Amino acid sequence: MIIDADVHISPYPSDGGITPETVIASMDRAGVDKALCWLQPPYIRQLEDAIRYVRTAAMRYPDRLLPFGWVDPHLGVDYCISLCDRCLCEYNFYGIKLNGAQNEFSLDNSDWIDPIIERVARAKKLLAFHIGDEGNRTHPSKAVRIAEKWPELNILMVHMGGAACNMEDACIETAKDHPNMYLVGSSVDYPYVLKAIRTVGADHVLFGSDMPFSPMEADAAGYAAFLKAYCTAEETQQVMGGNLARLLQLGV
Amino acid sequence: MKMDCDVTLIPGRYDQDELFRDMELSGVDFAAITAEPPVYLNQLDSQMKKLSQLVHAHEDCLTGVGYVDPRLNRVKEQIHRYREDYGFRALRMDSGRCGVRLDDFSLMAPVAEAALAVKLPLLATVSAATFDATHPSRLARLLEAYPQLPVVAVHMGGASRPDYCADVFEVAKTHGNLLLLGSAVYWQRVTAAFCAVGPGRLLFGSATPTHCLMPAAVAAFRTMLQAADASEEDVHAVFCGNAQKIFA
Repeated sequence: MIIDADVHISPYPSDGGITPETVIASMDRAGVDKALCWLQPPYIRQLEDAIRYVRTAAMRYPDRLLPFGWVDPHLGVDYCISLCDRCLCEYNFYGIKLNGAQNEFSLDNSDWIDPIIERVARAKKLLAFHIGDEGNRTHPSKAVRIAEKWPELNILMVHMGGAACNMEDACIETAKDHPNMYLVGSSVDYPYVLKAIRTVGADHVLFGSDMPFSPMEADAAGYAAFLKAYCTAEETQQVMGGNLARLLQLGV
Repeated sequence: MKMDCDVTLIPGRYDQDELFRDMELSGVDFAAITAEPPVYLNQLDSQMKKLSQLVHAHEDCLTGVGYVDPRLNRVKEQIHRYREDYGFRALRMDSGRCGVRLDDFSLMAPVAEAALAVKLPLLATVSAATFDATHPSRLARLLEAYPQLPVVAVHMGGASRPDYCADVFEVAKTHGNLLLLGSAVYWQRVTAAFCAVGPGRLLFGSATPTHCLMPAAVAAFRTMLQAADASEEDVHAVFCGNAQKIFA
């Protein structure tokens, strides 16, 4: 089973967003079975419509799209907590993503984000961080406090310090010491993905495309090619979907 | 046949054995290679000499690309030596290392004139990571000043986020002496480049080992050409034919 661990959809075409139908078509071309879907941050910043769009898409394609929530602490902590509860309990999403780069906050800001993370941990869902930022807001070292405070909480480290930010080595070093960190190799140079497999272990690295920012077909083909060249069949299976299926308890 | 036009040997990190292994794993028959310049640039010539010896020993699958730093004295002599003594088929310049702006003619004129004299193309980094030095507006001025000089835009404006690939494609449309080498780019830029300039001016490169892994680059590049409805003839041009012409 192949699962893309990083796909954005959006109800706002003017933001460059793509529809679930576009994603499904790419999945079919790329041979991808399922995709973890979250919103693409709307220009207007309000999240409600975008979250409902993710929910509706997952209901329309329940065997293909795995819905994931998203909150922005700038909208207010109390509001974020209620949004978390709705995403995790009412909508049954697989987890919550925090993007300190696009939403412009630091993972250091415990007053803002700890109450949100507590909600995710209590619901036994997944937490995802965007790790890759021109500033210092999402440096992997800032995720350490959270990984250590909630050792039972599994954290997706999306972009693993890449996204043109050159924090990949720091992310790999950090994940090596924190078994509840999982590296999503989207929008990151492939040599670092291979390094992560060698250093942290294939059981902690996940294939992701970051569609629509990078085309799923090309990334799926690229991953398949380099995993075949340098890794075992078991490692390939883990990275391309096995790890995420395990984390999401998909039972496949 | 496939040719990878962007491979760099890095002492202690990526050597010829790894290169040959990657070529075999990727189905790449030929590679245009350069070597990462040394920290102490007075050692550059000896390093390029070693590169030429490697290339001569494997002429059936390697071609040499000489690293050029316009800031060095005697750069013209060096370029002539690359052609006449070392048998290199192209020059490689990286503003990310030397910091030279592409339209700084006090430094670029000797390079361009020597390249024209020995009939070698210039493979120049054009990347948003070196934002100002290789900006498409500066690239255009270089192309206009030396319309007979074939210039290959390595990374074609990518290798960073956000990139300026689209602006590079616009420059390419109006400057026939510009070719595009699609290494270290967001993959959709390969499709966009193909659509912008056609199959005759796009080259395949992997940026191994710094940005990509050769087997992955081959697979992803081919996928994106297929997305552009490229014919097998077009794919052959991009993966091989255009490189054969430029490195002839």
